[in-house]
Amino acid sequence: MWTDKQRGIRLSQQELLCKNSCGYYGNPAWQGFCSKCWRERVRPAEARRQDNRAGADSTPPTFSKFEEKKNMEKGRRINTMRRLFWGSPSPPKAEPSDSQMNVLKAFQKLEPGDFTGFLKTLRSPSSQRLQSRCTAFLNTMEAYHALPVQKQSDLVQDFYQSFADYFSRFSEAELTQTMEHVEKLIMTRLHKWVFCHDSCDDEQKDLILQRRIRSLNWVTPQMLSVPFPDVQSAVMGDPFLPAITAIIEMDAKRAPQDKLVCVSKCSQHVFEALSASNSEPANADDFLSALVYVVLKANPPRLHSNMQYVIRFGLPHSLMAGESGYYFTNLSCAVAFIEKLDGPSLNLSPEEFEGYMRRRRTPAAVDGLREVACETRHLLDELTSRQERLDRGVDALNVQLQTWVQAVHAQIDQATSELVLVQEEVTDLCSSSSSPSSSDSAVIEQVVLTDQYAGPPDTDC
Amino acid sequence: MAAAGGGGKSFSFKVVLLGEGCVGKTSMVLRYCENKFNDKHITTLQASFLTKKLNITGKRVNLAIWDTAGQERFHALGPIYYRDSNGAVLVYDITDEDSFQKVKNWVKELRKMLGNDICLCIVGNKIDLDKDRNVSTEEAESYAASVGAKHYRTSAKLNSGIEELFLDLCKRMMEAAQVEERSKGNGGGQSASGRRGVQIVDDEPQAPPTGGCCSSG
Repeated sequence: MWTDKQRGIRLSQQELLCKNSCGYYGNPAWQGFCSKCWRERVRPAEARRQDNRAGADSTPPTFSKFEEKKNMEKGRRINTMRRLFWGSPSPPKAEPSDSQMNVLKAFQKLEPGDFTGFLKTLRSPSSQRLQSRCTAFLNTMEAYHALPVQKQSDLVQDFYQSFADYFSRFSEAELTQTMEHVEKLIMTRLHKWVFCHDSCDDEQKDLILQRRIRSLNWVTPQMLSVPFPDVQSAVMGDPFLPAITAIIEMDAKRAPQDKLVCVSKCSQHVFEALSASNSEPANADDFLSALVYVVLKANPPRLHSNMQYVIRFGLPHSLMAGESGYYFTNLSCAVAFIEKLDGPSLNLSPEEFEGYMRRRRTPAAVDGLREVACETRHLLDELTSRQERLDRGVDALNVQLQTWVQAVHAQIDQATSELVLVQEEVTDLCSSSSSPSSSDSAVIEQVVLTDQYAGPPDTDC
Repeated sequence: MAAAGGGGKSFSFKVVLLGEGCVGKTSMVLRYCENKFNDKHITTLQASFLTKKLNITGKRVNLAIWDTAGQERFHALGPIYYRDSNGAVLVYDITDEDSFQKVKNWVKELRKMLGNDICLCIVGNKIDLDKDRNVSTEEAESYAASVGAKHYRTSAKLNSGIEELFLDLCKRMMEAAQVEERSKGNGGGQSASGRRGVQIVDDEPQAPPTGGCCSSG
């Protein structure tokens, strides 16, 4: 009997009532208040919070703040859900007023890529409405971080759309630029909520892709027919190394556009590497092969998640059109190719392919190791020979130094002996009561002589 | 991205280049965008993504030409490339019957995946090598007509027919974009609709959510 009592949660009548003791029942979702008292409590808090946000927008709130907010917003969920899905948070399509025009002008004046300037403009009092919309949207998104990721993506895209409508008077370039800022602002904040979201199997797919790439570590550029320099110097290393670094860097960026910039950078490096071994401009076949090679070599962390993130939360414009869109498409192609890679696409027979795949599992690891060891040995050899050369150089320099020191000593000896001679001569002259003029000339002579041997003979070494 | 062609705004088109490995896709697009052929002074690092700005009947057109990997092993990747494209240029080598067969496969695939939304151009390249011709013009033209595509004959080497090909394609894509716009009634604000599965259209203007969406219990 008593075990039942212990297991169940027991609450007294008192505890169920509103904390404000207004007589109504409270709700844990409203921190023990009834709906009415809760609303009254929250409203001033909300206003305060928004003020705080205006001041420190970029600083991420602490965890306890999030907890508090989560709890507060749970109660408002149903209503806001309805609002979000049945009406979009788009502004009333009114005629732009003077103040609105001023805001638009302020945004128009910004230099391309001036994100700080954008933030400043956004925080200025005239664009307060825009800013509060951003803040409200961010708060809502954070509160609903448990929604399925596709829904979140839809919400974010709708938000972009409503923002784009607001700036619809801009020229295309200005609009793109402003929207990029908006994206950066929103997604930098939302990244941790929506990246690799629990509601989808991104994490698993990341692992699968990572394992797949690792199992293909025996693929050589020749198999992919990537134009590759034949003579590979050990010290120069892989010409695609900058591209590999760039693609790995993608995971560290937060905003989708920054991730896209990494993809573009990687692609530019690929083209540069290709141009070194090919005089003609690279075509799509060369480029894709090289990109496949780069992805295989780099095994970028969380590649699938990163790409999904860009697709879901990036601006549709930069993803669909333009150069970055092209590069991203190629990256998608490279990943699709790697996922479906088989013997014929590497000019191997299925048996050979199987052999490679199986061999790497047990003894092939040795193969890879041997390759690495070989490379390392080459490097070591080169380094040793460099070291020897350096040693020889040091020895030669030592010998030179010694001869120089000896020469200097000899010259000093000579100079001292000459000095003694001159001094003797002078004292002779003095003692034999000579004229002052001749003694003068002797002194001058002495000075000239010492001058001659004063500086070390630099030319010797 | 669909053509953003509302009002006085410019058109943006994505055109994919499809074709087998050695049919001269790269030469063709380099000739068109840089007017160069086998030139040592080509400064561009790459010929896989090129853009061209045009002015057609007073409308500005931004053309983005996407080269696609044409090797057989990359064949399955086609759909990733030509998604959301407004036009496709399918190139074959008139001396190579196989490359024409490949074009036929592409056409089938494109029509299956994109329906009639895409403007197709079938291009017989290398007409300077007419003496080695293996694909007859009549056959190619009748095939093009049968699938609702247009046929062109070009030579990247002699710079013949290429300018006309792209100009014609642009005009067709503009027409298609305008028809689409008209059928939509209102062409504005569709830039995000390209890939969104469900688009929620609000028919009554909502109050700005400033505080609004955060204050109800």
